[in-house]
Amino acid sequence: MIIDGWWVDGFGCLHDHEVAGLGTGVTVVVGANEAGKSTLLGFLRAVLFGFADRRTGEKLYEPLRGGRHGGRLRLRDGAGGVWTLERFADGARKTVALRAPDGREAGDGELRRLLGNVDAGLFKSVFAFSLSELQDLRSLDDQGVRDRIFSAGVTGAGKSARDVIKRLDQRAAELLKQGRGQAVINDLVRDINAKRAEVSEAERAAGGYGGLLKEEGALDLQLHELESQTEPLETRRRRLEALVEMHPQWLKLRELGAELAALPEVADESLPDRVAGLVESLTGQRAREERITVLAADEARARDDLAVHLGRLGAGWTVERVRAFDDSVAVRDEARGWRERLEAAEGESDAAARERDAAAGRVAALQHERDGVAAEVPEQEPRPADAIDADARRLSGLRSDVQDLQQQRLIEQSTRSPVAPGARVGLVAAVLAGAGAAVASALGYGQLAVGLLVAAVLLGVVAALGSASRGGRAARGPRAGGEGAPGARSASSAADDLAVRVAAAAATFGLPPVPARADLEGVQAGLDGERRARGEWDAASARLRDAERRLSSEAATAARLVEAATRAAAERGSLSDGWDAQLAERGLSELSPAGFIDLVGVIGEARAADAVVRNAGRELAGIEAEARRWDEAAADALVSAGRAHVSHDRETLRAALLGLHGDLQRRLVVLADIRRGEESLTARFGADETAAESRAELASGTVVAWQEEESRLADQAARVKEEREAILEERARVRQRREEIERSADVAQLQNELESLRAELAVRVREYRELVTARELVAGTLQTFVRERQPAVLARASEAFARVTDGRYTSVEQDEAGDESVVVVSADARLTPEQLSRGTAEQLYLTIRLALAHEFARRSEPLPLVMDDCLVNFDPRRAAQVARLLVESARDGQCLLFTCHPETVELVLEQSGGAARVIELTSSA
Amino acid sequence: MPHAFRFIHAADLHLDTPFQGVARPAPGVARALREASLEAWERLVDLALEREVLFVLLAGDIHDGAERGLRAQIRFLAGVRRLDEAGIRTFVVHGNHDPLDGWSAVTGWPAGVTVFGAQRVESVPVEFHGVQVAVVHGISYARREVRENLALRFSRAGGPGLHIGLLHANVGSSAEHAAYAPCTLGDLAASGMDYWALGHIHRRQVLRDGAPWVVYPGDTQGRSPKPSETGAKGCYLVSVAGGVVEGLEFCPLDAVRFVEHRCDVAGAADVGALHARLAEALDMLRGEHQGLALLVRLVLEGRGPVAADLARDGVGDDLRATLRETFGVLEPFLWVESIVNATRSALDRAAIRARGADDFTAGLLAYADTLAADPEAAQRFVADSSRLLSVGQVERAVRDLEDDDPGEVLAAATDLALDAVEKGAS
Repeated sequence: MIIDGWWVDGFGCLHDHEVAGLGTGVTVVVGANEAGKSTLLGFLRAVLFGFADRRTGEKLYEPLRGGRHGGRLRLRDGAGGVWTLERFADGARKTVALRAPDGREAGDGELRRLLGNVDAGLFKSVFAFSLSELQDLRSLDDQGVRDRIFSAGVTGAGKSARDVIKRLDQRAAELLKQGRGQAVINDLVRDINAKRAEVSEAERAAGGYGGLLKEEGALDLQLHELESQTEPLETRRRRLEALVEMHPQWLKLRELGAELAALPEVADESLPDRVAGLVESLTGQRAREERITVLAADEARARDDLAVHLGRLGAGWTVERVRAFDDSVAVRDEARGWRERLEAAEGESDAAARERDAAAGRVAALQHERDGVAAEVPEQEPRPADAIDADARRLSGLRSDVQDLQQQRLIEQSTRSPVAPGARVGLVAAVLAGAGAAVASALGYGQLAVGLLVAAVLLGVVAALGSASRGGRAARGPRAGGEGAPGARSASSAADDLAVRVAAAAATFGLPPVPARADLEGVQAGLDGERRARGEWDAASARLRDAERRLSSEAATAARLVEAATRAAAERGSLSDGWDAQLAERGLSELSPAGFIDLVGVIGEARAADAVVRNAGRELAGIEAEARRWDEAAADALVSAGRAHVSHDRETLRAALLGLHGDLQRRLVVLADIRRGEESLTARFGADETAAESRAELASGTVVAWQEEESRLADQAARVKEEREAILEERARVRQRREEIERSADVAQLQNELESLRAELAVRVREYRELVTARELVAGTLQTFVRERQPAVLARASEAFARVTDGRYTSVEQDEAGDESVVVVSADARLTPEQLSRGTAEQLYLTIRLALAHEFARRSEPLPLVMDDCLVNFDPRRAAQVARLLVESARDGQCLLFTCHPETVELVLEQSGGAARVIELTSSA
Repeated sequence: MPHAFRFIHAADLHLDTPFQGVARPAPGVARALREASLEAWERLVDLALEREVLFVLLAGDIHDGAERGLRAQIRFLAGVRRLDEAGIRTFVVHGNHDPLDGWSAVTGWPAGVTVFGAQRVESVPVEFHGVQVAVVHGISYARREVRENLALRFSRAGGPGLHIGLLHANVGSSAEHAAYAPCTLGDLAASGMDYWALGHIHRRQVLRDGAPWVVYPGDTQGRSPKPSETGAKGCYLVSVAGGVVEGLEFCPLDAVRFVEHRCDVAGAADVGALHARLAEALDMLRGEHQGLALLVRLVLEGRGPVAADLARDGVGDDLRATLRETFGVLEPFLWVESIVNATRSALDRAAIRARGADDFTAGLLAYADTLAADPEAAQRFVADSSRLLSVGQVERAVRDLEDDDPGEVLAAATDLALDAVEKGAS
């Protein structure tokens, strides 16, 4: 790659400065001081690799004469293609744009490839430097130049081997760092160590299980031994406690013994109970005495009452009769039964008589009522109602026919004609029939009369109709020309027929053939009267039948009641006879059942009084016997106790008995107290052989001595108890720990966790090994390259340096000390750069740079050399040699040489045979 | 069949054993793992009761370590009590993990339990309906490391019936396990036993199927994602008739099963496609091991575009986390224990080598090839590269881990470096 030209928009003192058409070979940019040569060097670096960062302290070259900060470079690649690279900085915002020869925008990768994968540092160190920077490259390894030179462009991706190593190092460092750094493997190792400690602790705990088992057993044994020591101690201490506790009881027993000795002895063991029983029954004895008094008074009163009752019963009644008389409940019930039955029979007899009399009264009243009704019924029975109704219907039909006939007559009159001979015959026949009917009716042949009457009416009607018909025909004939004659005749015939029927019907009612309206009304009135008479007759007949039915019924009832009254009276008589027989059986008479009952009541009272007399006597005898027995028992008891009693006074006897009883009771109390005391001692001390010892101690020891001994033993027991509790506590702790271990899955879990960490560590270690091995493969290969290529660089530098120094120094070599620095070798010395003069040292560094640039160009992409006044310290001869060297180096590449010295321009032009390009940079650029 | 009976042969219960190689499982998974070995034991007891076996043989390593096994001892005691109450005898020998010199929380065993001592081979006759049908010979480890060939002490004595040798031993010096009580098949055959009930090797295997039977039932519960611990774990139910072993039936007992699934990433265009492929595979595994909780190690292998994605930092972790979120919450759970990236870089190494010595990548590959060709050099190189692992507490922690194979590390590192250099992989 070479720089084909540039355009500076604004950069330091440069503004709108453009150069174009640069090619290979040497181009000298000449300008006075402050013309902008160093600025241009900065511009080229900035556009190629980026603007300086304010934080680094490098010079920023902000525009002093206007324009945007930055500019453009035209770069020509090995194939002749021209790329345009623009870079501007607008404050903090920086932009870069690379355009490929085909006009498209290109990326960073293409820019890196275009620059041979050189970074800013390497470019500054080897390819573009000022005089002051010339000596910065003191060794091949300075700033990693050597590695970068040899590794540049070695990778397919355009990266340097150094980049690959760096990346692998980064990845490896993420996995493992030296020392105690934070990285995956370091962390894992820490986790593993911590986990291992946890496992050890858990294993130690689990391993202590057997020990815990043994420890638990030993503690059990200790406990057992301690308990065996404790037992006699506790036994003695309990006895002492008992002695102290029971000592008062013991003293009390001694007192009771003395009291018992003072009380009388009792030979008869049953005496206390006997005396106690008598004392207990003393109240009863007193009650008996009182009862004797009461009973005697009761007996006297009852005898008096008995005499009174016998008096009420009358003569012949003695106590014996009273006692013998049956006044049982059954007898009294039976008497009450007789009384009830007799009363019922009387009641029933009286009621039957009353009903019988009432019935007779009702029969008489009904007979009277029937006779009245019979008188209201007429002797002549009117015609039956259906005959009257039949006449009424016929009359109605007649009334209708008469009306029809009148209408037809009116019609007929309008077509008046003589009555036809037929009609006349009909009428005559009707008249005759009517007359016959009248005769028949008069002679009592009603039906015949009716038949004749009907025949007369029919004949009359037929005659009338026939006349009318003919008349009609005659009347209508001339007017109608013969056509209306049949209708007229027919109408006339119908009227005639109707007239005959009317005449016949009228005849049945005794009316003229053509009855007038008044006739018909008269017949109607007759029929209505006949109907009313018939209704009245029917009603009177019904009432009569009803009265006769009720009379008959009541008469039957009266007859039954007469019979009943007779039966009741007979029953009553029979019962009365029965009762009299009952009385006679008991030797009584003239008593009603009620009187008998009263008698029995008095007998009962007498019997009661007699019973009181007898009972009181019996009870009195019994009580007096009991009282005597008690007295005798009391006297016996006193005698048994050696206390003879001679008085017959019951009060004295009772007092003596009570005295004896008191003494005996006290003796019992003392004995009971002694027994209880003994029982307490037995309960406290037991009944075995140690009890006797305890009792002996009670008799011989003192409370104070016992308490002192007990205090000593209590202290001793407390110590033992404390020791026992401590052992129990320890055993519980050991047991709990053992059970915890039994339940615990800690070891297994921790082991698994540890193994999990180790598994992960194995993976990461493998990964790390692969990474660092890969890294070493790349690094080793690079080292080999360096090692193999470096001699060529040094050889080239040696040759160039020998030419520049006219053979004074024959070679440039790597220092044998191995610190990667170089030495120069002359015929008689090996000198370090520091031992050279400034000019010679600068010539050395320049020739090394040229050799490095050549090696780089061989391995990667040739890059332009840019030098700012680097020849100023050279003497003319060496300056000429260097100029020639530059011209030769730039034969296939490019060298931009900035200078303010015209002689340098001349020198280059001379060494290049005038081929060098000269560009003048003015301060106004 | 006269005197036909069954017995259970189990070994290496490693009760309450910590699971190895399972990094940071979810709490529910951790809980299941913690209970798994004890649950397997209880399933064994259930099986014995259900199948009405005559006796149960336990060939050592019942506990994982004396100091760790208190909970296990109590649960174990409860189990043998259940067997004893059902009239089932239990014969136990101790192995290197639970030698007799460790303390025991059990102060007294039920009458039906025989724990063989370490002084000599003891022989215990077993009767069935009043007839002696078997003799169980056994000897325990007195201490952890027993290098003696204990099989040589066994001899057929004690009367009629099936003669069973109960021993915790390493037959043929399996490299997978420590060479305790080492012996050969010839030693076992010469003993006169009819059936060798062995323990110690966790991968179940029938070394001889007669005259005599030599059987490792494996452990009852897988303990880690290692190959010997994957797959179904349990015990053998042995049927005997007329004094002759008729057959073995393997009965799974494991509560949690370790499974390794290898997945070729070829054809997976990106991580999303790979995730879908893995999810499908996990579904398939759940179907294969129905009803069991699974711990699955996914091994990604082959070449493909997704290999470079997997080499990027965190991609594998994200993939694993996503699969865990999906499958870890199922019932029973499927926990993706790890995803091992064994894919190879998609780079054409031959083409790189052809670039010549002046090419950096070619130089790198040549460098790696040189190291890979010399295992010792490779080992030194890997060790030197990872020297920070040999410092201080890190060194002490890493020392306990199983060594990574330097060749594998170098191969993976070479892929990583090549990808990084060629593709600028970050």
